[in-house]
Amino acid sequence: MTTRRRQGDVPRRDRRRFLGQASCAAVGTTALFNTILNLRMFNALAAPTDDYRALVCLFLSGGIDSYNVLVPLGDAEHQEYAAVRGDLALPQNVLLPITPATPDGKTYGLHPGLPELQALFAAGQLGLVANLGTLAEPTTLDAYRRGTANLPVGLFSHSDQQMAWQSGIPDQRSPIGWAGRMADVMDSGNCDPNIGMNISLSGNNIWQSGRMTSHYTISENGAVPLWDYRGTSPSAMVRTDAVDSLLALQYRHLFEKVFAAKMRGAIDAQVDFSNALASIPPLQTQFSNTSLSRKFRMIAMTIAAREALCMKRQTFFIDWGGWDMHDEVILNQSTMLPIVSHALSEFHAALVELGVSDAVTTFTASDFGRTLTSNGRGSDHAWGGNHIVMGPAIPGGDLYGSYPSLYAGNDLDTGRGRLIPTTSVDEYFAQLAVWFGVSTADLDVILPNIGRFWTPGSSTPPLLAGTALTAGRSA
Amino acid sequence: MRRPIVVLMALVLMGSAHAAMTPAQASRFLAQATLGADYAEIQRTARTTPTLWLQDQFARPIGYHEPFLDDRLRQGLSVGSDERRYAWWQQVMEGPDPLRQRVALALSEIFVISDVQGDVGAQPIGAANYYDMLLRNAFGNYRTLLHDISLHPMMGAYLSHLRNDKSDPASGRYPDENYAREVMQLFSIGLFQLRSNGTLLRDGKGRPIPTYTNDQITEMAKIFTGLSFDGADRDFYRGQENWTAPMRMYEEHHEPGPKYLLRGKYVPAGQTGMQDVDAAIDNLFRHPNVGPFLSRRLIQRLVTSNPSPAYVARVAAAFANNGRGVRGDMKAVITAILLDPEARAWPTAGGITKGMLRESFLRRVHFARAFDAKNLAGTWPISDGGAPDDFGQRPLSSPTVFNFFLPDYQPTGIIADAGLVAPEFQIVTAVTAITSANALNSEIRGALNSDPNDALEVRLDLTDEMGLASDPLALVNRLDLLLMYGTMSNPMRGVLVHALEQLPDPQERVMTALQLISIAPEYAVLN
Repeated sequence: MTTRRRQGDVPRRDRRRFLGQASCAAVGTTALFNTILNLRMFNALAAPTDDYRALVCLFLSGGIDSYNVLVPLGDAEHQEYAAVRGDLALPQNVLLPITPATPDGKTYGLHPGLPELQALFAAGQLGLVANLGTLAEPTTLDAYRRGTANLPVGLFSHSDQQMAWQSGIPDQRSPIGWAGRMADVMDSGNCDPNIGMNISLSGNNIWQSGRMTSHYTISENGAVPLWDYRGTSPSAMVRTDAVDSLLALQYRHLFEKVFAAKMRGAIDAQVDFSNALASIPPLQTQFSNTSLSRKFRMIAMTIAAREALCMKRQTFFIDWGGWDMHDEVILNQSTMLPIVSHALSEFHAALVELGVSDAVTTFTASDFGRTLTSNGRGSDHAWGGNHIVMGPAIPGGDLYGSYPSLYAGNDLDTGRGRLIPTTSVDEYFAQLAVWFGVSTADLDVILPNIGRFWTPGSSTPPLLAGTALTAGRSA
Repeated sequence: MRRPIVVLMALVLMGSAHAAMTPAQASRFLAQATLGADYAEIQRTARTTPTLWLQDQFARPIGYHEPFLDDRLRQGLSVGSDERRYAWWQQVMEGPDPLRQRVALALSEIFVISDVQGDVGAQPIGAANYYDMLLRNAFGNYRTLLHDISLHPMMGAYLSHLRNDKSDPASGRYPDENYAREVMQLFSIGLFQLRSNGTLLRDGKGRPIPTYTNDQITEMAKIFTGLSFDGADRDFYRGQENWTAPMRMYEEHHEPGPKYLLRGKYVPAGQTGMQDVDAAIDNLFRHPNVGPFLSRRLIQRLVTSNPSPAYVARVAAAFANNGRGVRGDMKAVITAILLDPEARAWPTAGGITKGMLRESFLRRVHFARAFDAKNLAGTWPISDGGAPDDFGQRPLSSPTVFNFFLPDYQPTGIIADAGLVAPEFQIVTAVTAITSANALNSEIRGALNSDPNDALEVRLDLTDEMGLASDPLALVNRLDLLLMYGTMSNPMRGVLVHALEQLPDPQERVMTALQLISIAPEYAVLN
């Protein structure tokens, strides 16, 4: 949404001046606190950078059964997997083998619907993160069972866990997301007055909602103009004036005020966005005719127009649902995973065409993993799961975190194969945020709980291949 | 439990519920209690009182949807999701029961099934039957509503407890947890313990207190095993599909043994499966969360996004006891919601936060009803094919069981900063803000159904408005009463009148007036 400039907000071009004044002025405690944080970040980022970077979040909403995306391939491990999964097990001989750069003594295969991702992994363009999930602190099975563990709010609930992944603060309920917090402090590097750093292909979302900034939503076809607005007929001119006047009235009711701002922002941003997209040559890369591929195609086109849009840093959000497979996991994944595989590989090809494949990182997220055990052709809500990253933030061709044992009753199993995550979303997001340009010293502004899992500023990166989470791990 | 009801009745007697209304008051009351009213309906309602109006509505026959589809089948005509939507529009426009149609739509956004899911989309008659079940129970008892929802095969297909088998230790199979989880989280008690006024109870550390554990979900999952189609051949797995009869219990597929419920209750071993289901539904129905949980959701659908705790408490008290000792009486709940002083208080006194954003799609329905949209045949063949994209919603087409928007959605900025929620804003984006305005505009200028060459196209009837076209102020004032219950601000009125005065063509004047109101912030908020 384009609430980039709410009434009372300072226009972007005056932000630097505003920050300078506000730090000296008597302002409310909350505002002052935020101002200080902003200044801290602002200074860290003040050095002009000519590079361009984009983060793309593919949210697989519903909670993907990702132990059928990344599967143990070795005989002993596959037997363990097949025993716990029952009728949900994929046969060993259909899996697509991958070879992580950092050996952990085991072998792995991808779901048979992912040959394009197998190729990207082999080419070092795609990485995998094992048993990742929301945590409030490093958590043991013993602490979970005794009820002494500090746990995410609304564990196993769709709406709550979507919020937790997108906010990056699993132990609270927050309508502010970590990309939103990044935009609050980094957006000054971009300069279009109507379109901010965060662009959504899937409407309103928490991930890209900040305190001072929000996201601009486009469709897979881009932006749509308001009918007849700025038309040249006499009646169109009358209506255009009237629309402008209506949206410029002073509204007292908060909902009216916000509605007016959203409508105004939508109208103005569309003009800028459509003009920018009209300035780029057509993409040569062919995309499949699926809604997911069409969304990735629009992201590629928006990235191609980054100079016309005057963007140095961008995030993009796609929510692609349908993964809540309490029934027919095997059947439904066999049709949906190939769509993901095609879309990601097409997007990668488009980024190569545009010469920005080393500037864009795409990562998956999802509500939660699913039970290893079956409910009869389906699986239920669980916790840790496996994820896919494509791009330079997390070097490809490797497996990060620690792939767990899958036998029933293992030391991560809270019941029915609901596995406690061994890598926190905080570590995953920290790796992405640092690459995006957040300084490690200021990382806790973006990810307040990161210190519970990693020591910011340490010489080791937040995510390591072939290792499991340890509390406050540092160099 | 009696005290809040006594207080409520006293407030109602002092207030406007028993007094005849002004046309503006009637217009606003109908904006909350129906999906929209035309000028004549507003004038008629102004001669009655809110209380009498409700009594009349409660007594009316039910405008069921499924019979239209059954008729089509008998005539050998096609029946798909489009035709189900024709039936929806037919009864929303023509049905004898505007309050019931309004409440059923609200219920369909709480007890969600969606034709986005394959089984629901492929069974339009089953989906219409589900909707009719909501209509039937809208003025009944919540206990029956929860029971009928839980046993409807459409819900069984949507939340996968249809053909949910008992556990099988040999193959490592467990009962499906889907319905067990969502019936608690979304249809009855919610995630966290509530006070009777709907606010969260907190533990010693200030944290909300969960209403159930995951172990209790796995127990509840055992309850909802053994249910499948009530087909003539009585086969759990491969039986004949019957989408309009409640699911039947197949004892041999029902989890045996005792099962724990909530709050220390359990069902003993050896009961029939249906006795287990009934015990579990009673267990949820008796939970103290249900009243405040359901009350807040219904208030949000009909009146305001941010009811005061006292308002929730008054409605929850009516849920707990209708005044005659009955718990769960939906008529008492609806009456309490619509006659509450907080609902009836005139918006100018309500400050700057009361009310709600109109649901995007309901602006379309409102315009259709306010201007008596119809075609020559008296039918409403409106398929709403573009609605999910244009408006971000369409009845029974939610993307998930969590509805089109969450009850606690907070747009960041001044609304979140004020600690308020605004659910309907979740589907207002830079895309839908414009596509919904364009869609409304094309309906104002053309027809509600998408094929402009269709001889049966449904058009707004603007005859009366055309009669006022020569007098822009009179035209705007009529639309103000009709669409905005006379609350249009003078600055907004000035903008509209100024624009209309510059348009010489009468038709252009009328259509422009409607178009500008349709995107005006003051119209967008029903306060």
